[in-house]
Amino acid sequence: MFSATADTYVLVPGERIDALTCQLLLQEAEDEALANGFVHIVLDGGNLNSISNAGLRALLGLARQLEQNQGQLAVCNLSPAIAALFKQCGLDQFIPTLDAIPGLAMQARAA
Amino acid sequence: MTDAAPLPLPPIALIEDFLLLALNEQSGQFYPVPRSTFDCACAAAVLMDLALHNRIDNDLQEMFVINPAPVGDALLDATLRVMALTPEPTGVARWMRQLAEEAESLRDKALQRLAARGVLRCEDKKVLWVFHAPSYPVNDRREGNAVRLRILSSLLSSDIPDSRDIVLVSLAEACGLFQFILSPSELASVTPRIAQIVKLDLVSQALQQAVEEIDAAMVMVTGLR
Repeated sequence: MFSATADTYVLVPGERIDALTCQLLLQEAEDEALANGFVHIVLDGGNLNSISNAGLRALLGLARQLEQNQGQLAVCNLSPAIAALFKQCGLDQFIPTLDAIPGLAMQARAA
Repeated sequence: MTDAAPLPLPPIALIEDFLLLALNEQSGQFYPVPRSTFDCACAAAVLMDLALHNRIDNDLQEMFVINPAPVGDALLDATLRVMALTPEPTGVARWMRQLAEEAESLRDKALQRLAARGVLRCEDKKVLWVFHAPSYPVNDRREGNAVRLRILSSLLSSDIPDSRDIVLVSLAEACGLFQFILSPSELASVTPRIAQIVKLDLVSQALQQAVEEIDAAMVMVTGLR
């Protein structure tokens, strides 16, 4: 069960997560979230309309990295197509899907 | 003039690890896997390795080159060159089928490299003076043991698996290798975890589908299930 705290960083990718764009996303996770002490990350997929295999691998790798530090990656605002891809690949078993960005994370994002 | 020093071997490729999983160390022979399935898995191992090196990527429709720069591994770079020269986007299954036609050559090169690393020997015996019976006696069991150990750790854990473990589990599952590597009770206990891991990669999914198609074609031809 994902529980959002002020330690939750919100990551907002563009329309596509692939081998190229995932590098930027992972860099942001590293520089802005992990380096600043955030433990959990919520990926706001509101703009997202496609994820490649490398993108899926990157998200799984990020979830693994967070898990090793007692944190968690969650996603929210996924389109039905992206949610279906998550399910098809079984990512939903490792990366929980939230209905909306948790309140505390919203506050952290605004701060 | 002195002889040039041999080039250092690149890090162990995915296809080498996969071949070690597929090799019965007691007999020096590969476990019995249908030839076309084995070929597809070797092709998939090369594609997955290129993906792990961030040279190619794919979605549900197409596979594409994202960086044509050589990896520095002749086994992978030959395939990358061909893919980079292909102008039109091509699906994963088609690349797999195309590369599977060269699977024997890929396997030979990978086995020669394992021999150069001192892991095994490549022997070609003749049976009844006529038939060739290649055999790969293992000199050093450490590499094979390490691969099996990391796969088992991944299967017995509930943690998020590492990318290389995902593809190795997928290759082993496609070829039905777990029935040879694990005891029946071990296999029964990790079967749900295997299913969970295999889904995590889109090339793995394409491989499982290709193997199912091969199996279905075999049933059509032989009438055996």
